[in-house]
Amino acid sequence: MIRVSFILLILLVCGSPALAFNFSIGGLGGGNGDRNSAIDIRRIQQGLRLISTLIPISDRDEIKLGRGVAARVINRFGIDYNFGATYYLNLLGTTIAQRSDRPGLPYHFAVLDTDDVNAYACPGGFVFITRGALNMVQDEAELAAILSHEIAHVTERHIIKALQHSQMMKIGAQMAADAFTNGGPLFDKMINVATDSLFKGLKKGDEYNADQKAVVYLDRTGYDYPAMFDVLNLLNQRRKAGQAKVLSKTHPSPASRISKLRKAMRKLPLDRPTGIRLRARFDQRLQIKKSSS
Amino acid sequence: MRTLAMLFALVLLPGLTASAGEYYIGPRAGADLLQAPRSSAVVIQHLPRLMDVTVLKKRRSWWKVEVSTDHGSPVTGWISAGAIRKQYQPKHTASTLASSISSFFSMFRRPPTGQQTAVLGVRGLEDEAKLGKANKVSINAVKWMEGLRVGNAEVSKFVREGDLNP
Repeated sequence: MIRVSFILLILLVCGSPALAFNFSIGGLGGGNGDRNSAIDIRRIQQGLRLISTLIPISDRDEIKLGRGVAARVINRFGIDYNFGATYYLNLLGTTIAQRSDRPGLPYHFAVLDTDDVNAYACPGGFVFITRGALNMVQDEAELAAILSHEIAHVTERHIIKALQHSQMMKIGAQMAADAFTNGGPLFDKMINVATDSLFKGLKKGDEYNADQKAVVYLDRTGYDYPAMFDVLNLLNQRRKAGQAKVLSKTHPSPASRISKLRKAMRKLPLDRPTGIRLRARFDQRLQIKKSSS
Repeated sequence: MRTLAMLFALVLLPGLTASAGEYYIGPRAGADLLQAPRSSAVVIQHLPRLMDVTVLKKRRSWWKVEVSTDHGSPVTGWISAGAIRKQYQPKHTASTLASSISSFFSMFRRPPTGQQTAVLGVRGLEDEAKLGKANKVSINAVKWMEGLRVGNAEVSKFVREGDLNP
């Protein structure tokens, strides 16, 4: 990442790859001899290769891709058509999404028909939570924490980045653009690659990043952001009980996520926790009987 | 014989109780409530999609169900099992009153008014549709998700009621 930033900086300053080349040799590398010059040249060449492989994917294309990935997710688990629960999920999810870093995307939320504890975010704003995860959380703030984490995967374009870095996207910009426009087998392969990265798991760094973003989104929305830690603790319990098998394979351990998040939160721009958990609304909306009644 | 019947009742009754309020008519279309378990039987009434039903008996591809009606008295009849879906199960049992209210209001369940979004013809999905029935069902589910978008007014009300940040 540092290497990419370095190359991008040089490109921005100099305006063209050719100028960057000269600047690197004469400016940065010159003072320390030929060895440093050679390293700089290699870095620039690597950077240029990297930039050339990252085919841009527009929001519109991302949504098209996301619909295909969402269909595959539903194909695997089935969808729970409970209207009340799905509508509530959409109200909550949209509230958070409007306060996220990509508020313009049309987000959609649904419950997957499985008792395994997990959640999935497809490109373009299609977000799923399993019935097992919905049953696990205790209040609206905890549900908001899970949705915020998934929304963060969308806003940070984690799946899209995985696809852009895949061998699949070595087809070249023109062919990729044609595939997005015309569909066909190539587009199906793109959907397959994106779905694979969703099911096999993203990079650990992406998961930690989504946790941090989730806390920021919870704070912006006004929920009690420590709910994120409660969710991770609940996940830890479910994991030990063998009720989150897929999640355990595709995510870093909840303990390491808690540890990373604690460290990162010192630098995040957060207000004081609001204490808003909305247990009663959560119970009412999901028709859960209060323990006192 | 009587003992045997009582044993059967003991085994079957909990199952029947568990079926109540767990099922509803699938989202794609409504279903005909029939007098007998065959497609040629007399239609008692047409049940709208997403309506809650109580399953009384399962007989291969035909299930005997009971539904609430506008005038109060429940109606019993047979529905093709393929038209029935299982409800989402909350972690605690819903109260009887809540179930009754849910059952009543389920007759009017529709996606929020004016929120149906146009579904664009996306080639990738069309290609998937050629792959088989399961994928067609998934594509319809994606369209159902897209039809459930909530509006700004509903979100504002949700935020206000929860005392969240405007």
